[in-house]
Amino acid sequence: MKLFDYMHEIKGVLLVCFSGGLFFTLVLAAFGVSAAQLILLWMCFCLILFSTLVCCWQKKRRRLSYLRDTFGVLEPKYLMAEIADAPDSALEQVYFHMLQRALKSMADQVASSQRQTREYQEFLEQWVHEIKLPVTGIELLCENNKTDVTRRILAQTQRIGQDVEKVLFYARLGVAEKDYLIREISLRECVMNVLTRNKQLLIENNVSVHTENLSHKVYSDSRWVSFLLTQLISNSLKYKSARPLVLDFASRDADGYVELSVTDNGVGIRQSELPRIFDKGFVGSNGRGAGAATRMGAATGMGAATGMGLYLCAQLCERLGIGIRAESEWKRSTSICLYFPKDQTVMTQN
Amino acid sequence: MLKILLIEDDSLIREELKTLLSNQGYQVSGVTDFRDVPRQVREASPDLILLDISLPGQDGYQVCTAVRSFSAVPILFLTGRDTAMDELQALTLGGDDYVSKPYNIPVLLARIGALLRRGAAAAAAAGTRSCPMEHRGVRLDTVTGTLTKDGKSVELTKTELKIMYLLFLHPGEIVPRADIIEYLWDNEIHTDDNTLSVNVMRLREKLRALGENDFIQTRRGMGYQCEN
Repeated sequence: MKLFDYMHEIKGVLLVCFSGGLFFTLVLAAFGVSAAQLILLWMCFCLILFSTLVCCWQKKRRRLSYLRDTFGVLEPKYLMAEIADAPDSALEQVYFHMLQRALKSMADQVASSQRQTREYQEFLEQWVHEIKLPVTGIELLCENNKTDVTRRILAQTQRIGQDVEKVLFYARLGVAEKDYLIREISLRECVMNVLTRNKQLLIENNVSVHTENLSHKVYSDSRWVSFLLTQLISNSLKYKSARPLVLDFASRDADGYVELSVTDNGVGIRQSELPRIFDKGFVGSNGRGAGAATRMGAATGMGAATGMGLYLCAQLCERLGIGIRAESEWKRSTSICLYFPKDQTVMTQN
Repeated sequence: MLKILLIEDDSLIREELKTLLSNQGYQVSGVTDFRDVPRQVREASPDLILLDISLPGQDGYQVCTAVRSFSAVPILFLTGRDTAMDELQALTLGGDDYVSKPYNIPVLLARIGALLRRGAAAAAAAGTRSCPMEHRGVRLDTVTGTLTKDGKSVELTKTELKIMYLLFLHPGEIVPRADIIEYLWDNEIHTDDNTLSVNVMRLREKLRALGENDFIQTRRGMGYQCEN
């Protein structure tokens, strides 16, 4: 706060002082006080007024810079009213009190909404574990009574399984604590496991799978990597072209990383949309309904896009320290590559 | 026969698992009364225990700890809970393996098999696979991967061998295409319908080279059959 600003603020007081001074000058002049004496009186008056003014200004300035400094280093900022020294002036005390109450009520609201989120997320996890029971029941029933119909039921059940997993991992994204176990995992084992788990769905859609190499071992959590692969397979099924779907899994060494690529011969992604496919809720022209994808989607029994699958994948990858990248040739193929760091210490620090 | 004890509170899953495992040739019994499970384990003295975590009364972890105090029987946890903590706890309390719901059935069976082989009662499980196999004078050697007849032999690819093996397992029966494809997928050969047709065509050619013309019959809309 500049001196001028302060004077501007108290201009009413100054006006009263000067008009008072002027009034008394006139009265004193009427009583016959000489001009020289009046000037001397005025000089004394101005000096007193000015030094009082500067004094008050300095005091205000110190208080303000104290508040500003405290606020500057304070984290979180909403504790300001609790941390700063209580004010002397009556007006500021009122402000201060109001600020304290406002911030407290906000903190309460935040806490209650956090509690709600946590309860919601706990309920979701609980629900997912409960829904797995009947899903397991259906799978066992179908497995024990194998006919063409039960095979198709199994295929649909596997889709339910994929979507339920999606909910579970979405719920877990919000939790601070880490729910993963970093171990050495074999990419081959992981891929084979995912393929077997979605066997009926893949057979039903007449998919053929090629694997190449996959002898690499990486450090990661097998459940999370399985989830990633399942989502990628589910996407490939969703966006398959009129040709029979061919999935290619390949791994190779790439400069400090192990690259695992999942390639399909589906409808592909437009170059212009490629940078946004990992965004939350992004549904490309393939998923929006006009394209061939949705017609195929209806044919394969895969539902419409929600724009969550790849977003979840990217989020999980970030948590696990895995790089993810997409390449695509419009109307020909899509390839999603996962990059696992080779250095085990990088992973465990994350 | 190897005895498996099922400790699972969901009755549908218990019954279906029972059927599934009985079909695999195991003797299966399930716990229905969840009071004092460890005592029942002691009485049943199974070769393997399948244990759920969320049970009425004592949970699976407690049961596992109690069983470990008197027995080293292999314990496989089957559970809907699948956080890293659950898995760690199951394994540190003396569980031997951990499979989460919904089960990947071939994987579940493989793990059961592996645990039982590791256990003391190993001998009985072996010897189910008879090789070489023979049908109408054609011999299938699964070790060398060859078909032989009258001294002539042809080599088979991995896929062809698996198809032939399945047909030989069911001589004279119609084996549905869906069964064959599923069997191939279970053996890490991920082929589609067309590839199956191509492979069967090649098999027929190889059989012709052995002098067998109609060894594999196509039953339209049903599957393939090795005729008697």
